[in-house]
Amino acid sequence: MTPYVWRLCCLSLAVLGVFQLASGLVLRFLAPRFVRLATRLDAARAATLMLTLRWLPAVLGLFVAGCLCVPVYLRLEPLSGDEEELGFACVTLACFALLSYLIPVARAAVNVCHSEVRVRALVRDAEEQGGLYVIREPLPAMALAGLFQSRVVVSREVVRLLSADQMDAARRHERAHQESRDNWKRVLLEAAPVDLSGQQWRAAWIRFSEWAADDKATEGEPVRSVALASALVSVARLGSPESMPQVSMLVSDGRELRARVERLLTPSERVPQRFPVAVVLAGAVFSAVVVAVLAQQPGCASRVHQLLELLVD
Amino acid sequence: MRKRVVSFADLGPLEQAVVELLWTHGESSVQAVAAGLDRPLAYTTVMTTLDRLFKKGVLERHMIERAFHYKPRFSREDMDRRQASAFVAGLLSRQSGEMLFSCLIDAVGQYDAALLDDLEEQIRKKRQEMEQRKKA
Repeated sequence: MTPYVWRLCCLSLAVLGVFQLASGLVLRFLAPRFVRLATRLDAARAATLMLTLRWLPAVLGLFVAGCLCVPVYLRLEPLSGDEEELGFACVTLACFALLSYLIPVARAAVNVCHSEVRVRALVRDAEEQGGLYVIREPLPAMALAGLFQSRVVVSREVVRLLSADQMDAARRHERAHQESRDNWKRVLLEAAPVDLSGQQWRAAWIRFSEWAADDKATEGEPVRSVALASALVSVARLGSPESMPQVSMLVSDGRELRARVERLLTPSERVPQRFPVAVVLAGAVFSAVVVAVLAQQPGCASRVHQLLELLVD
Repeated sequence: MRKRVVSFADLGPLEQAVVELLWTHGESSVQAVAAGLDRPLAYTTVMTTLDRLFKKGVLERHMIERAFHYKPRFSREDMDRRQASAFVAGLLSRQSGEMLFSCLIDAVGQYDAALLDDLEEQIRKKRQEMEQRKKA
């Protein structure tokens, strides 16, 4: 690789790094407000918003680096400037960006492989009953497992415990996760580049995706809502230390469970606000066009080039 | 490197049969294990299996009169507990970062009994309310 191309790569990565840090910092500060805003939306849209915001800094960084910095550098940086050296800060930022993108992707890939292997092992030993895979483990477990061929797995304990209507509601809940491809969205969350606001979006996404699956499972039917609420409590009780001493290492403060059950029992009268997806998309396209046009303007391009030179030094 | 926790389900059919036998009969020599198994197996096969289980950390062994005697390192209950813990930690723990499963409830484990009682009470009241509304 020539020094010119090498410098371009480092510089692009450094711009990504700056964006990661800056937007991560801003979003970390704004995250609680966005989460509050999301609670007013329909749960499925709120979950989409959380996933979008998790990826926003990375997408913005890629866009600015790819559509603004690279063209400006190629146009204004003389090919003869091979002797120009990269500064320590530039190399550090480039390394940070590279690692912050590569590590989560590698981790997500490993997790996908592990999960698939575990699902196959589970399903191999499971007994199929009406579309459910009944697993042998004596655990309070019911989950949608797997990515490429997702299946609802449930332990015998849960099958024994839940009544027909509770089981139907729980099955609908897991099917809702399946239809929304929530396991794939989990992979996307895992693979999102490291930034300063990551875990807040993840926790909020999990909450909203569960709410969305609850909503889809119950379809506003009070009887189904009560059945699902009681299924949740029954499964939670099955996992309590009195009945399952061997699985006491995970501690939950129960806030999420309480919120879900109360939400199912007392559905809000308020009509959820619609998330203005079209407006956001139009805004993103408009911003992209503005950036692309600005990159063509000599005055703007030279300023961007000056900033890049600052970053190089 | 940290040694992986081996659960009963991780073992092969012969290994499971051997461990089951040792749980029932207690400490045994290779010969006794070979004699106690349902199907006839070569002495060396049983010896290799026992050695593999020892290396996996499932069995303990000590020498008595120039022959190894094996016994399980864990009781059946301990093994179940390890299996459950490994399963929960591996599949259901959201802290592990490996969680690519959508579970019915967020975390399996300790929920405060008072909280669960309170939620059950709320469900019961809601059911009563619905019954009354239905009758009216």
